[in-house]
Amino acid sequence: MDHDGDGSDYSPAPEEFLAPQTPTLDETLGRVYSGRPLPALYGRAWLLTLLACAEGFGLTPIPGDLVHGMGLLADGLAEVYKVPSPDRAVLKSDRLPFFPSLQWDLDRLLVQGLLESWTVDRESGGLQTVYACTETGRSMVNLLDGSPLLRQAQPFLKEVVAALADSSELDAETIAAGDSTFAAPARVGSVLDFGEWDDPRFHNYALRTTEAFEKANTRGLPFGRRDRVHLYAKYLVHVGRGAA
Amino acid sequence: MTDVAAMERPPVKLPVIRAFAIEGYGLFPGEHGDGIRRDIPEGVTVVVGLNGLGKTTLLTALYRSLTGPVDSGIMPRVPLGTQKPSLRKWSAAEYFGKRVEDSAANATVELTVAFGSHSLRLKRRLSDLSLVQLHRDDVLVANAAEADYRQAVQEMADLPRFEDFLVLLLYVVFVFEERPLLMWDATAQAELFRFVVNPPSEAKRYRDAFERIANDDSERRNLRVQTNKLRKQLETARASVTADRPVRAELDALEIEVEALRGRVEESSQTLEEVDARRRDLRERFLNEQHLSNRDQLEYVQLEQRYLRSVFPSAQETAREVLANAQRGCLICGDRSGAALRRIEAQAANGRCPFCESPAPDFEPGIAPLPAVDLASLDQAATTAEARIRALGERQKEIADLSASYQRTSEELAQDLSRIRDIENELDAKRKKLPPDAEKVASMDAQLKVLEGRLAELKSSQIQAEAEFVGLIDATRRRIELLKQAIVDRFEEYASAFLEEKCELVYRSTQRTIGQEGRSFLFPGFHVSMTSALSGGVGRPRISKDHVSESQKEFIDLAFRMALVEALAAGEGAMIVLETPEASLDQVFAVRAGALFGRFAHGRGVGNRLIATSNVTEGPMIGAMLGVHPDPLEQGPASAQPHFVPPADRPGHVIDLLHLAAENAALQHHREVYESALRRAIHPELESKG
Repeated sequence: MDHDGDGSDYSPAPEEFLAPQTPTLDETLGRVYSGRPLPALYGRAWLLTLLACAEGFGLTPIPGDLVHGMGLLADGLAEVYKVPSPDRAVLKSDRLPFFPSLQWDLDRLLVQGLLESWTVDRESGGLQTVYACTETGRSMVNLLDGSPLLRQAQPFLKEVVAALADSSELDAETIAAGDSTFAAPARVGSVLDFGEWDDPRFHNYALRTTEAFEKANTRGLPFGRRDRVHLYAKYLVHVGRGAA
Repeated sequence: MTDVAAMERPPVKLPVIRAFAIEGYGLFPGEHGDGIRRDIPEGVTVVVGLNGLGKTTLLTALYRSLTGPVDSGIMPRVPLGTQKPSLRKWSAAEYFGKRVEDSAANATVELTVAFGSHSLRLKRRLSDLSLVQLHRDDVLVANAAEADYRQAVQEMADLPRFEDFLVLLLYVVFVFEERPLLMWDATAQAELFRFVVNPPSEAKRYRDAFERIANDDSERRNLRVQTNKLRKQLETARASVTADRPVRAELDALEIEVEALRGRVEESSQTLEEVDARRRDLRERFLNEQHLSNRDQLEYVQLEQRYLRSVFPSAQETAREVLANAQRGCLICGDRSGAALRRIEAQAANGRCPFCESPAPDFEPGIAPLPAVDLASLDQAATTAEARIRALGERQKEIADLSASYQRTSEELAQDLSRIRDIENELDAKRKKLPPDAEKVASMDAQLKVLEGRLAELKSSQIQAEAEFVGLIDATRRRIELLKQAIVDRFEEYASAFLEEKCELVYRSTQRTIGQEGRSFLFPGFHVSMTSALSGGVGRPRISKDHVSESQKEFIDLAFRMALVEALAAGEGAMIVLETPEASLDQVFAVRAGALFGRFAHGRGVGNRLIATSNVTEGPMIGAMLGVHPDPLEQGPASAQPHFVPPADRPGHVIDLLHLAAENAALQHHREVYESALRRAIHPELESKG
């Protein structure tokens, strides 16, 4: 059951920085791209939207590791909202998830003045790069709303960021350790394909985990796609705590 | 009914050959090459010759002159009652033609034959027995045809049919070696008496009634078999109609089911056709819509791409931001002259990166800013693409539903058709086991009634014919009884000449049916009773030819024929033609038989004629027939016998084939021996003197 926009606790209503949605689009639009390459710059727009949302939820400056972790979450859970995600495969690593294409876009957004970055001291010692959305960047997100595809993706991306904001313990390490796809047993250096060539219904384990939540809801409580995203974030925290 | 008592004598007139001539036939060239021309005098005429000189051919020529080119078809050894004499073509060419080189091309036979006071003179070609000339009582019949001859014979002999004349010749007049035995065939006697003692009209009625009874009986028996079979089938059918009601009920139920199935199949077929037409139509629409959808999607995708590229800063804008910020000057060297800006503009105009001077790749926003994309158009394109996709989805679902319906209906149709086949097979099997239906039973019943009706008709017809026949057979019997004694007396005389045993002819009517069923009648007939060497002189009936020896049966039959001929001729003169009568007689009986033949021919002065063939042997038969030997049963010299032929007359009673026939090898080599033997046989007194 979908309870989007029902005013539940999970909706911190950051709509003020998002353009009002004009036509109602649904997952049908995503099907246009099912056999067709996504538009160039879609990944960049996807990333900028994520960072603009993070700005809205007060998550910035956000460490570069977490930007990639947030990317993994968004890519893995996009199927819940039936929106096309820019990346559907990641290299298995014994460290943190890393998307080269995301990094490419991050660098360009930075140069174009849509993001800004600087280095800060890491609590554990050493320096780390953090990112924030510039004013220009936030304005750009308003423009991106003109794209029907992005307009469809925005509620989902907002929900991912909201779920991240809701769990203060959710850092890059927690995501890496708990994500059903990334943490699944596999050889380091192998490709974890969760929808690029393989069928996401079988190989996207994050998606399958959220489906399991739905099945576990035997009492018939209201449980929509937003609930699945938020519960998955809580699940990651829970798994992270267990791992710790 | 004819007044039997008023009849003085039987109506039949027996044929008596008075003369004959055979000319132009190579087998009988005659003494002067002009053939044989002879009168047949009263008394005995002996045709003498050797084997192969043509004795039998001569007799056959006489016989066939009387029959014409037809044969009765009678088989001598089969009872006449089981045969139906008819006029069948007889091939003279096969018989007379084959015996000579010229196929008897110019051969003719002439015959003068008397029937009582009337006579016929006829001439035939031997090659085909066709009639050349016919004189009736010495009057030439102009353009005479065979029918004229037959008509003349019927009228003169007083016979109802020409076939009866053929029977008369074969059973009475001509005594061939291969001949039917009248004495031992009761049916032949009955048939003969029919036409010899009854006037022709009555003889015809007798035959018609007899045949009607026989035919009705035969048809009735055949028909009864059919009727009984049909009756039985009908009974079975009627019984089965009741017994098979449950089966019929099952059949009815199956027929109802199959009818309903056929109706459903028709509906299903129609539905299937409609569904198929609809899904084909939808598929066509779907494919067309898919095509449009692809076009719309592509339009939207291109617009979206253009939009995203227009949103992000171009390389020119980025470079201007980074390298030519007006407030900060060149970030590399701090120059504020605007040279960097100009360079940026210049590179952008060339479509190259202001910094690295490369052309920007497609996946980046581009060098110069792109023109703005109309957002309303983009939204419209997206909405249209989306609507198309949704519509296609619905259409696809519709097609899938229709296909499922088509599949379901097809399966139902196949099941129904299969069930129909099964039921039809079952119906066929059951129907085959069923008895005929009511309509068929009714038809059988009607057929049975027709058959029963016909049976009744036949029965009635047979009864009617039998009633008529009773009168006719009674009259026949009474007429025979008038002749009976004469026949019996003559028979006793002749039989005593042939046989040592005492042999009596017994007249006895025998009860017999005509067909296998129906009324029995008293058929008149003669049987013999005789003593054998072992019976001590007590006579006992010998009613079958199996009860006597071969020679006995032949001579008993001959004696019967002679007695019958004499009785029937009633003093008007009669004739018998015998083929080699001595063949089965020993020396003693040959003399006695010869004497008897002589007496038959000359006896009682009634002008009988007897023509007999005989081989030239030392035997006594020829002489005995001419009366030249003393009668062993009588006292006194030979010349005292009534049939004694004086020496001077003897050549007139002998047809000497030694001189008249074509010479064969035996005659050529032993002519003198044969001639000498013949002389001794004919003139024994000369030989004894000599």
